[in-house]
Amino acid sequence: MEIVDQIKQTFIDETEDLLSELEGMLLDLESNPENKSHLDAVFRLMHTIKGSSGMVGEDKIYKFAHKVEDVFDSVRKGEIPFNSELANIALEARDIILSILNNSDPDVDNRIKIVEEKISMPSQPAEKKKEEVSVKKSNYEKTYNIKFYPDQDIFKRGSNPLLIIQELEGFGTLTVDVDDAMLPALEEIKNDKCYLGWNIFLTTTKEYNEIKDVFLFVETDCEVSIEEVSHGKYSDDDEIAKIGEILIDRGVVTPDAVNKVLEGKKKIGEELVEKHIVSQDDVESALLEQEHLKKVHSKQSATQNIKISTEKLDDFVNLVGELVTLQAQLNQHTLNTNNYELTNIAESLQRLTEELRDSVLGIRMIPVGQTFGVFRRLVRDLSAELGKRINLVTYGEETELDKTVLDKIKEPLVHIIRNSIDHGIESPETRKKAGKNEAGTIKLSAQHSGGHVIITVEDDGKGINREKVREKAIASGQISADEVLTDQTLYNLVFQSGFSTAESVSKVSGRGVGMDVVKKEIDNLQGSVVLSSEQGKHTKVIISLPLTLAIIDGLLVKVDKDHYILPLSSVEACIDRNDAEEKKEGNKNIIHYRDLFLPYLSVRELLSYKSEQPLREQIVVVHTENTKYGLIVDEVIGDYQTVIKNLGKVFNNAKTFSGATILGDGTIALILNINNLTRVL
Amino acid sequence: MNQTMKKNKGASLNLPSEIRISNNTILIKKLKTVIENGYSKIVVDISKTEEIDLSSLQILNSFYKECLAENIDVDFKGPLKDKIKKQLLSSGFLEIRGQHEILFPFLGNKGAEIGNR
Repeated sequence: MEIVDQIKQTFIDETEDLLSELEGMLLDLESNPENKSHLDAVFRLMHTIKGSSGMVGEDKIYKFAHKVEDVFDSVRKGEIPFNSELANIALEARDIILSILNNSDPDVDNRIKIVEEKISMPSQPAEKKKEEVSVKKSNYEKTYNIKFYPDQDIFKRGSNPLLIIQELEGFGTLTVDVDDAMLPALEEIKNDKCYLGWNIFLTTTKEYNEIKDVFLFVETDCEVSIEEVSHGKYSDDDEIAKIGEILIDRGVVTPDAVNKVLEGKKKIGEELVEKHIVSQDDVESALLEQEHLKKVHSKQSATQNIKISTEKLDDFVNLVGELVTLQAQLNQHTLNTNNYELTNIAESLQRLTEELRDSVLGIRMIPVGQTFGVFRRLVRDLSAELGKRINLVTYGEETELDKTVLDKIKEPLVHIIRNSIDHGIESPETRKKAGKNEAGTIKLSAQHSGGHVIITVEDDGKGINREKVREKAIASGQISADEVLTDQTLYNLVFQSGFSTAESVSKVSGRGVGMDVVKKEIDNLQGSVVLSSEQGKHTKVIISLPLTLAIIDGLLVKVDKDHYILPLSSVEACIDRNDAEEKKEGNKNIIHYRDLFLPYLSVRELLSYKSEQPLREQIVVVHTENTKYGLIVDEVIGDYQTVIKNLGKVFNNAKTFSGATILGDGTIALILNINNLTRVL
Repeated sequence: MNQTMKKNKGASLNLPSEIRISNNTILIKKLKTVIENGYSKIVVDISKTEEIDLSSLQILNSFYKECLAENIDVDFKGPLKDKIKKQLLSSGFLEIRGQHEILFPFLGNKGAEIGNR
């Protein structure tokens, strides 16, 4: 790539990020027009886009962004108000810049003209504000010194000081120093007594009261002091406070005394102790604070981001995948030799490989909030188009998911949300008549569950009409008129191709194309989707997705001479078949497992192995989003780092397997598709 | 105990996967025995341990202090499992200095380095 092309590509990547941020900011500003920090951010973003486009010679963007920036400058000065009309114009301006960047709209000049005409029209001057109403919540970091000395009987009351410290850990950067001065000799220690105390430094954006709340249940019995030790001075990343400065700040020494001592050559702490100006404990505590501040400082310096193309990252992941496979081969080889030195090296290498694997997979993890942000615009625009009032509420935006999975789930989520807006949420009049709030709500949430991420889309609309689904399914011949179906089976029909209960086809949805595509996409991602609904109240779509598609922890099993992999996150237990109680119900095989009767299937029978069944077999109990079942295999070998390889287009229809992996001895093990195997239960 | 009186041999102690308040009495007994037996070197294998509560950490802490006072050489054998590493880091009992993991970093400004094997 030529250097000029590289600069241009960097500009495009960065501007796309800025535009995405701008969209979110504009939506925030629309819902809270008085928030000055949002307004400043919008102005700043537009200013940056203008500046960088000018630098790379993108004149069209430069001139257009300049005009939009001027409008926001006037809003900042209070000359014109920010209202929904201006929000619409600004969002359209943002879309236009994106179109110019991607060269995706031949009519873009016309769109620019329309927006420029709108912004050149004199707007109503804003009313002078009597006072600033927005309160800027501080995201400014402060450092606190927390002294936590639990009383000796804290264990007896069932409290665990460690959990309290771990809660603080979630607030920011923590430096913990244990004080074991009260700890008696070994023979005098009482099991149930706590003799420890902690001196903690915490740098966080949280406020004093939020920190105090952590100690809510122990503060009456323990000694807890929380003191803010630094303001902007230390959290600005310019300079770390020196010991003398900290001691002066704490009021234990005067600046004069420090200056006098500084004339000597010794370390200030040593000198102050020698001269009996401060105690050794004071210096050690100050040193701890200094260490903590250094840690915060280096963390701030280190968290600068660099951009890497996804291709490069994918290559990196593939290479690490190859390394993991090679590692497995080395392990296999060392097992067959009795070379102690080689075993040592292989074990060390394995540890490093595992760390490298976790790190590289961590790099690919992206918070789902980035994708959720896109849906805010979708809900805003579509609800306005359909004359509905809808609030989008999101939870768990910080939940991370592999970039590939996240990219692929975006379209299915768009389908589901469009359906919720069009078919789910009723018009304000209908909702009012039904005694509901005129504004509907769509809840979008993400959370971790084992090795999966669960994404839920729930609306408080009219729900799915069970009878209508049934009638439609009978009419299309998918079920017979006398067939009795559970709610779950009935709702699953919604995912069939061409199935729609909508009476009319709208621009948005109703053709029955979409939900089948949603299911197919999610199946392709080795995920699952479940629908639940209550007529008149709500509809909920629960999607379960694997955290990553690159490398997983697997359970290696054997049938005949072949190896298979089961995703470890889906495995619940392994039991000896001889110890299991089995029975037959109709044509289903059932085992008794922990008070549950579970269906099972034999991999040997499923894959038509002709060899003789071994005397002892193992049952692996696995679970999917909505069911649990047993899989009978000849032997369970153990956990295995599985680098997933695609089976290729020829095996697109092989629903029993989701991929393959290469084992240490170079042979191939197929990965069983736990979700799809339920169809043969 | 005087260094010269010590038996010139070592003892090794394997810690279980879970060390909890309920098995602390046994732990104290074991630790006291190895100190009283006058070994010059004690290897404490902590590599299998996945969980340790604060009560047990206090005991290990006191044991290590006593060994230091008695000039007994204590080696903590690792590597540490991730779960216990997190617990020890959170509670201030472990510090990572570059490539080294230091247990009880507050003791004598030195602490005990966890050996990888």
